[in-house]
Amino acid sequence: MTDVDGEEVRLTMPATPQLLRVARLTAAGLAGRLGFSVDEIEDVKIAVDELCFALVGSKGRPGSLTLTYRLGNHALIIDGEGVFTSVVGESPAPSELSAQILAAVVDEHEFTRDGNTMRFRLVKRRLVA
Amino acid sequence: MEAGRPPAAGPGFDVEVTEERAQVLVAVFGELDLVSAPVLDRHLAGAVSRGRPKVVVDVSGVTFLDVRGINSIVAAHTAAADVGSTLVVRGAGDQVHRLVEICGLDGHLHLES
Repeated sequence: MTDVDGEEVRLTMPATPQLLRVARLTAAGLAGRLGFSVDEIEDVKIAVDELCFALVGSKGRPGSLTLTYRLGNHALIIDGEGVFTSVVGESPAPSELSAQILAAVVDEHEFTRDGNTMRFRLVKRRLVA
Repeated sequence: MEAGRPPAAGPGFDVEVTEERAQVLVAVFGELDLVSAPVLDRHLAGAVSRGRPKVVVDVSGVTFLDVRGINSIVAAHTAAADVGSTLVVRGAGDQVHRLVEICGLDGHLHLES
């Protein structure tokens, strides 16, 4: 699968919960392109869903969400950035349960906040026999 | 037997509720996530309120499940127990089993194959 090395896909969308499905579908398609197993693809979908939810919350936020998917050597790296005009309501960070799930389904994940801008990164590596 | 198909909940998600003498069957189809979980919440609350001894949530048609979806089912499980009913999750595939296990709910929810 070295022919996909370095490929990058970028999505920018309103930070609304209704569009998280697009983030999951894109992740699944690219994970499939990397030769991930069905279970690994499900893991990526769950992870990107959890981290995007941490960004946009249950009601969405005023601003945009940009996702950059990078295909590496047997790995999918997803960087998310939410740039909002204001952040009210739920605290924009993964819950304890989300963190527990993320630890179980991906190899690396992080979430950072700088004012009204929030970022995450997840890394999922393909199991190579 | 009464059967009802409520209005579609949106793209990629649907719920069918079938009421029988001893149970209410709630069949869930599509992606159970942040957007669709509130719809399922309403259906499950309605199913529990029928007062049948058993509420069966058939998830064999679920193509994606996240924590918000699991929370819906757990809340209904608790509500059912509060009124002396039992909520059973039927048709859980590997993905559902895995998420339930990660969330530490494998000893809490009643899972039927």
